[in-house]
Order: sequence, then structure tokens, then C-alpha cells
Amino acid sequence: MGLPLELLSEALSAKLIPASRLEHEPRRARLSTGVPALDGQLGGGWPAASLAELCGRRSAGRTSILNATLAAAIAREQAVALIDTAGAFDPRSAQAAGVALNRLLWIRLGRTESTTRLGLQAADILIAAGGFGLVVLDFGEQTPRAPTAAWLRLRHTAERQGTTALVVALARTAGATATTAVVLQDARPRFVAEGGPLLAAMETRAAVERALGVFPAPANEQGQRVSNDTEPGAARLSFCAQPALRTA
Amino acid sequence: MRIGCIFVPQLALQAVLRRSPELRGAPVALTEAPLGRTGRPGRALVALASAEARRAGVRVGLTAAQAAAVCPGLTLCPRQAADTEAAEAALGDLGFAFASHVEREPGRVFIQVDDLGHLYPSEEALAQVIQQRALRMGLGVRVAIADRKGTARVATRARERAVVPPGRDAAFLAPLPLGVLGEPLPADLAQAFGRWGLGRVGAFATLPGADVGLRLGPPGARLHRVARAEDDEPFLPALPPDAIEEALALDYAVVELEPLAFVLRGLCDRLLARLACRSLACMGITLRLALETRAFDVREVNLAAPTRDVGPLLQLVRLELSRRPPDAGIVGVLVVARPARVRGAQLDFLRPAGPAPDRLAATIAKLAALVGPENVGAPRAEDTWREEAVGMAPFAPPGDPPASPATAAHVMSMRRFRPPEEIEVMLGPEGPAALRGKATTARVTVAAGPYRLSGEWWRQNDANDESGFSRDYWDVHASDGALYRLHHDRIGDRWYLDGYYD
Repeated sequence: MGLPLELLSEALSAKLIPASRLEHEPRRARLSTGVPALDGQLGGGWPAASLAELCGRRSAGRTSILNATLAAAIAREQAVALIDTAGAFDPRSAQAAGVALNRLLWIRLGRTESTTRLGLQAADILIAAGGFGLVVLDFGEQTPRAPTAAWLRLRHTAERQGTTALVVALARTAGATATTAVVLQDARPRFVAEGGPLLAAMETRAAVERALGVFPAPANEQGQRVSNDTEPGAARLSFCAQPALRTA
Repeated sequence: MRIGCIFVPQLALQAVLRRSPELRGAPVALTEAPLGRTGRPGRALVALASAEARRAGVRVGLTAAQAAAVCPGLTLCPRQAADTEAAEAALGDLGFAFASHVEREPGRVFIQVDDLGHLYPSEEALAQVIQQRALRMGLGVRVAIADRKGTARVATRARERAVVPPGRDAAFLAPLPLGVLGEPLPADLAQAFGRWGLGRVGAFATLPGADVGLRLGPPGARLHRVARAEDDEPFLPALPPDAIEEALALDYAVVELEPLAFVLRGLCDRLLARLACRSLACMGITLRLALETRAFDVREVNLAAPTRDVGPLLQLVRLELSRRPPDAGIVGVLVVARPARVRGAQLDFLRPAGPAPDRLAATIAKLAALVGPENVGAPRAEDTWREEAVGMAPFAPPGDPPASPATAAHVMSMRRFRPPEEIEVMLGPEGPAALRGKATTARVTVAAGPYRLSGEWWRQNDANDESGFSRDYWDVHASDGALYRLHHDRIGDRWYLDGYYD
């Protein structure tokens, strides 16, 4: 003897929650970028255990944010590693930005033909080893071409090991596999006149192009959440010049 | 005292199978060529044959040609001393994997097992574990545990695995055939036993000891004591050997890297398995290559951290050999491991869990194999005024927390060109007005500088290439939007692009 459909629907309605009323994904732990203005845009920093991207052209401010992130992670006693595919890392400016050099694992690839492959391999080895809070894969002025499967693998390994994998490149490359993407643009230097021009600071605009799960999804007229993928935002960041580099 | 005996039947043959595991299950015969009257090796004769070969009719003493005719699929391997020595050494390591007191004799080891009762539920279970461990090392062994060395030795000849209960040695030996008392039994003793109508050890043990000694001499008296479980052979443990090595003589000269890497993988695999037996890891290897020209090529391969993973080790060996190939074909390989102890570390309960020390070491070794050991470590700012100077230190993060939290001030960082790119600079009244290099061509919109930097003048007359420097640095904003740092080398009158602020 079957139950009428209406009665069954009523009986189940108390137990079932429609997808439209589901709670938003719980907030992920965050790893500070070391730049409060950018942290504010990202909901606290780079999402932990995920793949994030930081892009921009020459002098857009990527390295300054990268060094600030490394310094912040080290200050929180996280194990950090930098895979430097171009061999462009400058220890002096990193030290000036607060990076404790003896706590940073630096892997430089130099000028080889297959930096993308080697870089991804090194990242995979590091993240799979476990225990690293932040692994930076710095492609410098390249936009690495790698199959989506490679980025997916990197993301899944990072999620499994609780590591933040940060890819620094000229332009976005990981696409939808990245949880967060920040693109730097409209950078301009500020010179002051002290007898002659003197480099004082650099200002840049950080546009958050993708921040999965950071912002509450907007609701439509019926109260249904329509998307929780991105909420474009931007912040103006400023970095001052290092006096140590100005030797009169 | 309880003594365990681990015995490898047909050690020379098993040594070959350990080296070439693909031959397991196939008919294999070991050949050796005895020296003839003229001092030259004679015809190769079968010295040992696997069970499969024996089933097909191969017998010891047949010539190689006869054996091949009897069993068409037979693999004939010449006996190599290096194989046997390596297998003997592996057997010793197997003993040290279970006990600290090990006595070695050809083809077998004795271990003291009294204090292993806490680790294994029974002696039977211990014997089983020893056999399983030996199999993983490529050796099929027989194991016996008894009160006396003599009984344990005889038991390994009679059974695959035997545990003689305490005080029951004589009862265990009694039903065994007399042949198991020797390996083989001396011919004169075997004849005497035949004449006396003796077939079992128990029957021999009942004879009066003094009369046996009178008729059969000291060898017979010794066997009689063993048969009565009254032998007083002492247990003489020895220290493990310091060097752990594996060697292989090749049938023909190898001149390419790939076949050599194949050979090396097997050697390194076996070497690391032996190190693991002694709870050690590998810190590096010494590779001794015997060349066709009768010369030796010796290489040292160092690992960034101790590891038991064959991948990074092999990768470093390949890098070393491809960087500097041997001068001639290789006819023999000897690999000597440098053992290191891996110590565990206690992590802090209140701090974030970092990478486990042993896994971190293995990871660094893997990375070093991937990108070269000189490219992995912690960056180090050199003690010099040269801005581009950079050093690499071994990565060993201190255990204490970082001295100070991250600075609140956000400073601009630089990205460097290594080496600095030489460029042409067009000068204007305010300094650089335009740049032209291989990858950079731009007009200068603002130029700040010059900032003069000079130093190391005392190296001007150095014998090496290092010399002092005198540079004028500029920070320029170029029309391509980048903020470059460049310098004019006042000694060489050249311009270089150091990098850009980013």
C-alpha cells in the first residue's frame, strides 16, 4: 500500500533543504598576503590549501607582494619554499621586506629549456612532501603553458596537504583551477625632487579577478543565491623605495 | 642461549638470481670453468642448477653444451665472485636487521635470539618474519632456532623452517638421516656408517662416545657430539662491516649511459635495501668503474641529505656521468655506500607542523637531483657591496621561532637579470635618455641618479678574474612602463641592466 505523493512530499519537506537555501561554503583559513589592503580584498589573504595566481607585467608590483607574503608566512612560522624558474630572486630586497632568508627554501631553475615542466615537477615534489604552508611557483616574465591536468593535479595536491600554492606569472594561466587570481595593473612610480628626481615609491592597482568562496553570493528577488564565484574588487597598493639601494 | 641459524641454500645461484630477478622461475644453471693442466680455463661445466633446470634433466658436471642440449630454454650464467660476496654481505645485513650479535660463516649466519621474544609472539613467528625479510632482499633462506649452534646448523639442512623447543635438541635430531650431519658428509665417514648399518642420527647418538672417537677420529667424534646435542661450539659474534658495497662484472663493455643506468639501478636498489636492514640511510656513494683500458674511473656522488629513495640517488649519478662521461667502455661497476643515521625529531606541540625532518631531507635530495644540488638551499646575501652577489646555503631552518614579526612597512622589491644584461644607453643632459638591449628597448621618461658605488679595489691586481668595481647606478622609469635599475661600469665604460623594481 503506497503513500499518496502529497503526503510523502509533506513528510519529507521537514527533512530536506532545497539547494537554494544551503549555507554558503564554510570560510577557508587564510594566509595573509602581508599587505592589509590586499588582505581586505581577499577576505583575509590567500586561501589556505588551494591554488592562487598573482599576475602582472614588469614593475607591476608582483615581487613586492610576493616578498610580503613570504615574510608574513615566515612570521607565522610556516615552512615556505620559492621555486624561481627565472633565477631572478633578489635576496637583499627580500631581506629588506622582512623575509628571514635562512627559513626560505629556494629552488632556482636558471635558464633551461623546460622551466614550466621542471617548475611544476618541483612544486609537486615539495607539496606532496607535506608540511609546507606556502609554495611559490614564480615564472617571472613567462606565461607558462601547461595542460589543465597539471594545474588540477597541483591544486588537488595542495588541498590534500594543506599548502597554499601561489603561481606568479605574466598573465593568468591556471584558469578555473585557481581559487584566487589577483592581477596587478596601472602601476606607476612616484619620484620626489631632492636636488634631482629621487625614486620614493611605487603605486599599483590590484584587481581581484577571481576569489572563489570569499564573498557571500548575491541573492536575486526570490532570495536564491545565484553565484558564489567572484566578486570583482580592486585595491590601490603602495610600496616605498628601499633606502639601502640608494647609495649617494 | 637460543641461537638462530639463517642458511642460504645454493648461495652462488641465489646470488645470480638476486642480481637478475627476471630469471626467477626459469631454468638457470651456474657454470664454472676449472683450470686445466696448462693453467688455462677448461670447458665450462655446470656447478649449480635451479630446481626448474634439474627437473628438465640438467645435472651438475654436464658441460655447458650438454646442459643446453638437455634443456633448450636454459640460461647459463658464469659464476662471479662479486655476486657471491654481495649476497654473503646481504645475508650478514639480514642478520643485523634482527639481532645485534651475529656470527657469520660461508652461506649462513647465526644470531642470538634470546632477547627477541619481546618483539615477536613466538620463535616460529620470528623465523617466518626472517624468511619474508630475506625474500624482499632477493634471498630464499632456511631458518632454524635451537639451543645449540650445531643443532641449528643441522636443522637448516633438514627443514625449510624449524624451531626446536628448548632442551629438545637431541629428540629433534634423532629421526633425521645421518646425511644431514655434514655438508656433504665426508666419504670415509659415510662408508663407515654404511658398514655399521646406521641410517639415523638417533642410532649414531646411542653409540659410546669414546669408541666412536677411537674409530672415526676427531671429525667423527665432533659429529657424535652434535648428534647427542652435546657440542660446545662457541658463539662468536662479529661487528658489522663498515663498508656496504655492491659490485658487478659486466659480460661486455658498456659505452652508453642508459644501459649503465639500468645496471646501476639494480646495484643501488640492493644497496639501499641492505642499508635499510641496518636502519641506515645513504648519504652518498662512491662509484668505481672498471674500464676496458684496465683503468678505473672513481666518482663521488653526494646527496644533500640522507635518503633511502633510489630515485634521487640514481638521478645524481646520471647527472654526474652525463656531465663527465668515462673515457672508455665500462666492464665492471662497484658501488660503495656512505651510510648515515636518520634521527627522528620531536616536533613542537604549540607551533605549526612543518615538514617532518626525514621527509624534508628526502625532498631536498629529490629536488637536488631534479635541478642540481647547487640550486637548492636557503638564499644568502653575500658580504659585499656588489648588489648582484648571491649565495646559497644548505637549508636548515633554525628550531627557534623567527626573531621578529614581519615588518609593517611595505618596500619595493627587485627582480634581477642574472647575469646583468649589457645594453646601449643614449645619454641626455639629465642622464640616460634611451635604452637598447636584446630584450629591452625603451625611452627614459624619468631618471634618478647617479648613485656611485665602488669597492674591492684591493683586488685590482688579483691573479684571478675578480677585480674591483666602480659603478654609477640609475633608477629609470622607461616608456614601456617598467622601472629599471641600471648601472654604468666606470672601469669598462659599459652599461648594464641589473633588473627592475617589481
